[in-house]
Amino acid sequence: MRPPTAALFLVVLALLAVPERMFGQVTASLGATVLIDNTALTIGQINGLDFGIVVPGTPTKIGPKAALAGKFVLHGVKNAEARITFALPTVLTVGPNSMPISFADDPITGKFGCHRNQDQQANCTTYTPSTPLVVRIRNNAPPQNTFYVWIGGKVSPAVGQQPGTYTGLVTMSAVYTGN
Amino acid sequence: MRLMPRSRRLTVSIALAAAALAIQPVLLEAILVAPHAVFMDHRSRTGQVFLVNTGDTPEEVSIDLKYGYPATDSTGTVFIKLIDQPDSTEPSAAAWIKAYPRRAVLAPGQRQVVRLLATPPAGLPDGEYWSRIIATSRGSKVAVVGGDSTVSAGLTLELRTIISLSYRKGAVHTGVSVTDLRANRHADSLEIWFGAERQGNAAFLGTLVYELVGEDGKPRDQWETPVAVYHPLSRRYVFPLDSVPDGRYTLRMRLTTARNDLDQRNILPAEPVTRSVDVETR
Repeated sequence: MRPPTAALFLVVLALLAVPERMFGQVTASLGATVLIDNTALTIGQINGLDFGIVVPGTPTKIGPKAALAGKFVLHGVKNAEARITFALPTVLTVGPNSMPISFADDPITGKFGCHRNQDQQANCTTYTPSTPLVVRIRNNAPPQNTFYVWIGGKVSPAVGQQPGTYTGLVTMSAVYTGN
Repeated sequence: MRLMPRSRRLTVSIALAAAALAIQPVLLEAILVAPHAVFMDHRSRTGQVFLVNTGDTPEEVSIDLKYGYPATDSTGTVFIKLIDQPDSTEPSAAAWIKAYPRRAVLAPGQRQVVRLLATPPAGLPDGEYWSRIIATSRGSKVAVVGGDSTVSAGLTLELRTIISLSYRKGAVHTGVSVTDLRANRHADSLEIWFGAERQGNAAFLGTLVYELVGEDGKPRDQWETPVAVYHPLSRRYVFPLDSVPDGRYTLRMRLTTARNDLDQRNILPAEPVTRSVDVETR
């Protein structure tokens, strides 16, 4: 929670609203504001997918329902259809060294992706994160106009893996389909 | 009643959206893009997009324009077909609309207006021209705790938000023809195949309403979905039949240009289209 930031925005909103009320345009202004307000699209990362320190020779997995899973949220037009895709790396690198990373279905952990239109990780629906996800934003007014995605993965450091902080790039795309 | 000026309304709305996000859990990286659909016309040849960094770290944001439109694959799932080099028959505006600035670094809470300026070719025929605006944001590098002798792993993130842009010149009109409507029960759901082709020189943006009507003429369930027809599409919809008892029904389909997520001034009118098909849910 960020109460100071929220309070600041509310103060700004109040200042913006006053002149409209002075000119007796409350109804029209509010109606118009609600219309446009619903059209913003936000994608955000709440938790990064961070494997931390791993042991060479021992694969490390993070399931999509684990506390360490990457967590993403989409806010948008309520009930709008969005297509969410991930471009995922196959290796993490540091300098010339690399380490395999996988998001493919695992016989034990299962699928590494999970999604739900509410922030309920325990009840989310698992899926394979390399496949596109076509979903609808939760049909509620802001800030409950949400869709959540959780991503896990598996890294496989080799025996004798060179020390270092291995990183890779994940690209998350969110597209309004207009449907 | 007088409405607020358009730019003011958008500013207020973005503040509202940002305020709403501010009371959410802390976002490591987040970018707000508004509006979700941009409309420009040949008279002003300008448009704008607002970007807000609603995260807690600085974001480097870049803006690109690429031609694209919604299409469907063989499973009836919608996707945005992006084409790097569209041929001359495609109504692409991507090559002649520029964004300023194309790149910016936004501090947490910072807002950036991206101006769009069109320089269409001379003799551009009347019609609607399309592009997609791609806002790509990259946050700070992942902070993984590790020493000189340890192996650690983490991921950096890039967020891409893709919205539509429509540029209208002169007389624009739209319509739609329904080329397919089939429905059948699939497990505990109703599977509907819907095919459509656009008429006119502008995309059809509307709403599709399905109503399942019993043999007694009483409606049993109703589903509503926005629809956008740029090029021919063949869409598969699946709706739950939880509350519908087994039996024989008529599925009524009504397609109109009503849209509650778009400014009414940007809606192009068209004649409603209705169809119906028999369904057995046993």
